Amino acid sequence: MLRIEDVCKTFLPGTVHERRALAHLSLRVAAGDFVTIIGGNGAGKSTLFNLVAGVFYPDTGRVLLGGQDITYWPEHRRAHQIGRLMQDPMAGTAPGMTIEENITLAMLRGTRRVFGLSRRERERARTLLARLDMGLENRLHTRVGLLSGGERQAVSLVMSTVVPPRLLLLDEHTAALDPQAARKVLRITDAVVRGGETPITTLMITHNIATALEMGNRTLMLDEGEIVLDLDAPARQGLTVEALLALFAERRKKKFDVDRVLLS
Amino acid sequence: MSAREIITLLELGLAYAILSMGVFVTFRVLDTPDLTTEGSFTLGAAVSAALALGGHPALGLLLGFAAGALAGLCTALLMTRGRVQPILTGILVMTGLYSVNLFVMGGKSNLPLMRVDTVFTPMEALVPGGWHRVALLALLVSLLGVGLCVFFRSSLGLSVRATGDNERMVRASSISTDVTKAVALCLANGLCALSGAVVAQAQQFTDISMGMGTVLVALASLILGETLLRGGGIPRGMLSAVVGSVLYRAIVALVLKTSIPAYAVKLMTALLVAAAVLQPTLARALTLARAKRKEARRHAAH
Ligand SMILES: Nc1ncnc2c1ncn2[C@@H]1O[C@H](COP(=O)(O)OP(=O)(O)O)[C@@H](O)[C@H]1O
Ligand SMILES: [Mg+2]
Repeated sequence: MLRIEDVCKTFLPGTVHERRALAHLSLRVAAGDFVTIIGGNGAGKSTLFNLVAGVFYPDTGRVLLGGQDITYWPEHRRAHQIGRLMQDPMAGTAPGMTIEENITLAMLRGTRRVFGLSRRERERARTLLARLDMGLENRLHTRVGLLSGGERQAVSLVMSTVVPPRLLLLDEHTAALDPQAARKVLRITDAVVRGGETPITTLMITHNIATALEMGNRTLMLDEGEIVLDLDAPARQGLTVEALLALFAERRKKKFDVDRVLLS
Repeated sequence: MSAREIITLLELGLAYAILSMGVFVTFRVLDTPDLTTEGSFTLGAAVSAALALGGHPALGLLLGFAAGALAGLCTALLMTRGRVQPILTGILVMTGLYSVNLFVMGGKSNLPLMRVDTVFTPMEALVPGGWHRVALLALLVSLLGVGLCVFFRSSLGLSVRATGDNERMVRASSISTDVTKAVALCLANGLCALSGAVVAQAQQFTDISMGMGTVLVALASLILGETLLRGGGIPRGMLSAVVGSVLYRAIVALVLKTSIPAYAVKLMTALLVAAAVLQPTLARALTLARAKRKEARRHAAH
């Protein structure tokens, strides 16, 4: 589904602030895979997502989605194939518009249709919101700006999957939430990704190693712009956080910077 | 106030309500201050007057709107493709339009439309008592208000609103914000020009400097309306534009009845807008001052 071939990305080249964010990184993700991604601060995780989403382009290398070379497609051109959620709960929704208007906008995306939703679509939107179990289906005319961070992130999740994208990118989308809301949004994430007729191919960055090992069917670990560990389902089976860190230390001949990484 | 005066203020209020709707689209929906307005207002008036003189008053309104939309497109291209700041863009296009407007007016700085048929002429036979202009304007303003409410519920309209609300989100969805901004600016300036076109035919007079200060008038009207109307979204904005615009004209008419000189109106308008813009800051300062005073008093009591 997604193929990344030998991409490099250096920020501010030729200055004192030169920073190589990705170094000859290659990756293949099969359709229906749910890949969790971990790595220290500045490992290049978000940069990888930005290249896939088209926020900026790689210096070298190619990005292919469903066999199509999208390396230099502008962001909005690939957007209807790629759903994206950020850490900031404010990023994915329009605060001044109601829940219904936000969802309508998402449902009309990628269609040629000009006007609002049919009754069936409205029902579907309601069902999807009801599945979040937050009572949002009864607050369709509430402005999104009045919702809590967790609620906004849940609405963003519905918005980016209501028309199933080919690829879903989740960049620490629970990091700004309190632990309880974070757990809830993760549960919803799992349900949304696997809830459709076919599962949505998903990449999820998380700073929580335990979450990374629990969710999805494959885990990547990045360091200094390279993929250090690539663990498929059997390899992850029964792997503890400690064992994973040991594996990292062995590969990189250094200890993993546990600073910001939550172990539990 | 005499019936004649009430009719005049309703005419002006309704004609300028269209301008406030346009300003609502840029300042509120798109959240971008656009000064092109002043130029496109006069452009609409000029086109409308020129075509009315040529015997096509209705076409004058239509082409007036189109000309304004074109001016909006220039602004949009400078802003999005050229990455020029909104204020500077507005000033650039507005200044350029001054020459264009004079050109449309055949080099004359004013065009009287006395004894020329306007869109209001056929209405005279239908609506008695001098209310024919008010009737047609009310119809036009209602149609535009409803039309805009419908538009802003369409997928394109929702995208335009989202652009003003959270541009990052729209860019991450499959819509180009360059396009949504262009749509908003064309629509807004089309409306401003239509307002000028209507004013020209209602007053049967067009002047090259009639656009001066219109952004503030429209904004002040909108703010007046918004303080009166609760709720949110587009319908409230449309109603605010109409109610506020009529109210603004009523206030101006009342002021002119007092001994306050007419030239004070602009200052009052500016003060009104400044007060509205400063309101949150003033309110915060006031609350803080009150809290400080209370605390000081408590200490003094001990
Ligand atoms: N837009 C940018 N400009 C300059 N440097 C950047 C930019 N984005 C990321 N970087 C740098 O690239 C490196 C990788 O960043 P990032 O991919 O955001 O890391 P993370 O794995 O924490 O998400 C960091 O050193 C960061 O400072
Ligand atoms: Mg990051």
